[in-house]
Amino acid sequence: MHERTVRMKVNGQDTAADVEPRTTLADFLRERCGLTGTHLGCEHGACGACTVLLDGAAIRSCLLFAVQAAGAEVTTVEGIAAASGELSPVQAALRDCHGLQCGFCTPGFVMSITALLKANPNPSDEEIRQGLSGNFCRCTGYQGIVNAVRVAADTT
Amino acid sequence: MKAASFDYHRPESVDGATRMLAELGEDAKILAGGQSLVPMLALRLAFFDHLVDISQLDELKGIERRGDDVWIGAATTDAVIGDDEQISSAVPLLTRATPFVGHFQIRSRGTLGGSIAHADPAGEYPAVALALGASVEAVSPGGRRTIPATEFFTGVWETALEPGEVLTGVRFPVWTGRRGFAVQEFARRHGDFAIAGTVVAVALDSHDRVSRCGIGLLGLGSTPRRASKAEAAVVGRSVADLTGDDIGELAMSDLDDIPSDLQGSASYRSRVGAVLVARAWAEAIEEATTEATNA
Amino acid sequence: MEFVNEFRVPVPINQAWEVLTDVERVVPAIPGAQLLSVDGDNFTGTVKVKVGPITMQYKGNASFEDKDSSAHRAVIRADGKETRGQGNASAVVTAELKDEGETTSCVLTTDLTISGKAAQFGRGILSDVATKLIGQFAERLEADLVAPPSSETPTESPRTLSAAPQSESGASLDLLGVVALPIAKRVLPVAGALAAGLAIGYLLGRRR
Repeated sequence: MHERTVRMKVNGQDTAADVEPRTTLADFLRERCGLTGTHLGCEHGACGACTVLLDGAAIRSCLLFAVQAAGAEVTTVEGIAAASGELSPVQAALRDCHGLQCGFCTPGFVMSITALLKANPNPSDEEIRQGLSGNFCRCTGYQGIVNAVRVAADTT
Repeated sequence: MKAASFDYHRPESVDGATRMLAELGEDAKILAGGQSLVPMLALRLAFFDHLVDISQLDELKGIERRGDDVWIGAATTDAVIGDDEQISSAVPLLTRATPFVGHFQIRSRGTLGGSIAHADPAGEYPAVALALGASVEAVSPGGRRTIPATEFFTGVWETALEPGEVLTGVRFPVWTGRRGFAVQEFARRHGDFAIAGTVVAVALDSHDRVSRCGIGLLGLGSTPRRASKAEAAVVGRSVADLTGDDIGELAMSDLDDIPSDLQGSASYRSRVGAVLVARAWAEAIEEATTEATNA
Repeated sequence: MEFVNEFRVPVPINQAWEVLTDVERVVPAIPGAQLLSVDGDNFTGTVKVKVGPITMQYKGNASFEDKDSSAHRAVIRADGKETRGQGNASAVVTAELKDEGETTSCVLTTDLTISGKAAQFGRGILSDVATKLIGQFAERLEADLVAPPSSETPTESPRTLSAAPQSESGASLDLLGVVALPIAKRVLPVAGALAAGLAIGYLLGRRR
């Protein structure tokens, strides 16, 4: 129905656009900001491919309307590596532990793992598996991803 | 899929929200965390012309001790509840149920009020509210009222809330003395909707007799249920005389509308439910018998 | 899948049969139902049903496959399509009245087939909704029976009876007073059947 102007910070950059209220944050990031690293899997909150950070907390961007994120700071996978391009410990660990194949689920995992390790820098194996339970991967069988979390935790 | 079009409104107060709902009528819906509503909109199972966003209202946030209860504002997120120390010592059942609510990304946005108002039969917070005898507070243009949890859940996704009424908070009674709490849930994957689950609260007197018991069941009916028969059967009895298996069976015997669906048949759910109640009972009793008196 | 529901009306069996075979008295009593047209034993209508945040609006037709006024038994077949594309529902409902002297009980046996989105649902919610609808229907019908409409007034066609979901018995009476029609009254029983046939079908697949 009626479009609204929404303003937020995305990966540190001020962003504004006119959107329909029903535009999800995921679609806003992908289509209005051109940040297609955030992926759409199930679009109903189950698969985790759309996970981003909103004011530091991991959320499902497919379950938030862009208009609800007004004034917030959003971090996507494009904002995780350093400005120099150097991969974050989480990204490097996923690469080194073969924690990705097709890469579709990977941005969601990067964001979720980043948030997890921030809250709990030294998780137990049980905590790692529970923490990852909200992200689905169809390729790897998860073992490489779990290892990557352990490695990232150890190197941070 | 994408949600159908709607207009978005963000009232500045709860009174503003109730006025808006009254004006906009039945095609308006409250939006809080959105973790249950937005999937329905996205899958086009639900349609509303207006969404009224109350997720940022400060009046609806907070955790406060009020007399013998802990009041939790409706817009308080699951994540905040799960991490809160006051709740952890005063209403441990909530703390222990929280990790079962979806996944941590869901809990960043999902709210207590939303969970209670959405009233999913497999929801954890509704079952906790029921088991502990919580009170739901709601506001409408007509005024405020309090609805006991035992009268609140009236059907699948249906509650005693009138159209246009806003759930503002829930008061959870604080159990004192020798208490034990446990949550047991079974789902195919962690975070899935429970196939069956139970939340158990028990308090013992100084002679190891049950002085109080609340057994909430989720996923085993069209609403969260209380295993009243089982509760009545254990109060006054000595812990040594009670076996979890018996209590589990008794808890299932009350149920008359256990769902049968793709996730499991009614008889399967009933067997799982009985075992979960038995395990939760054992856990709760273990805690209550070893715990020193706690205020 | 099959459901059995029962409701009771506070009148003797012949009166119950008469009312329950009168579309115009029965449809307004179905919560959220609207009769669009009647043609002999066939009629079309819509039913809007709410389950929490979900609304399903079915539009379809129904007809009597059998009406036995001596055995007080009728069979109605209903087919409906959800107007927002959420699937189809079809039902065969058998209604049997039982003589209880001053009251009559009606047993509805519904054989329901669902397709589309709704097909993921389990019988639990379907049965729940059907029971609730029939309960509300029975309440309204009872209120209507306690004070039936006075006289028949001709109305223009097409006839449309809308049942406002929150109508009181008073409102029902007004509608009936205004729109009672000189139409074959020997049709149709069981608004409950219609409701069950047209309304069921929402249930959400248990997504994770």
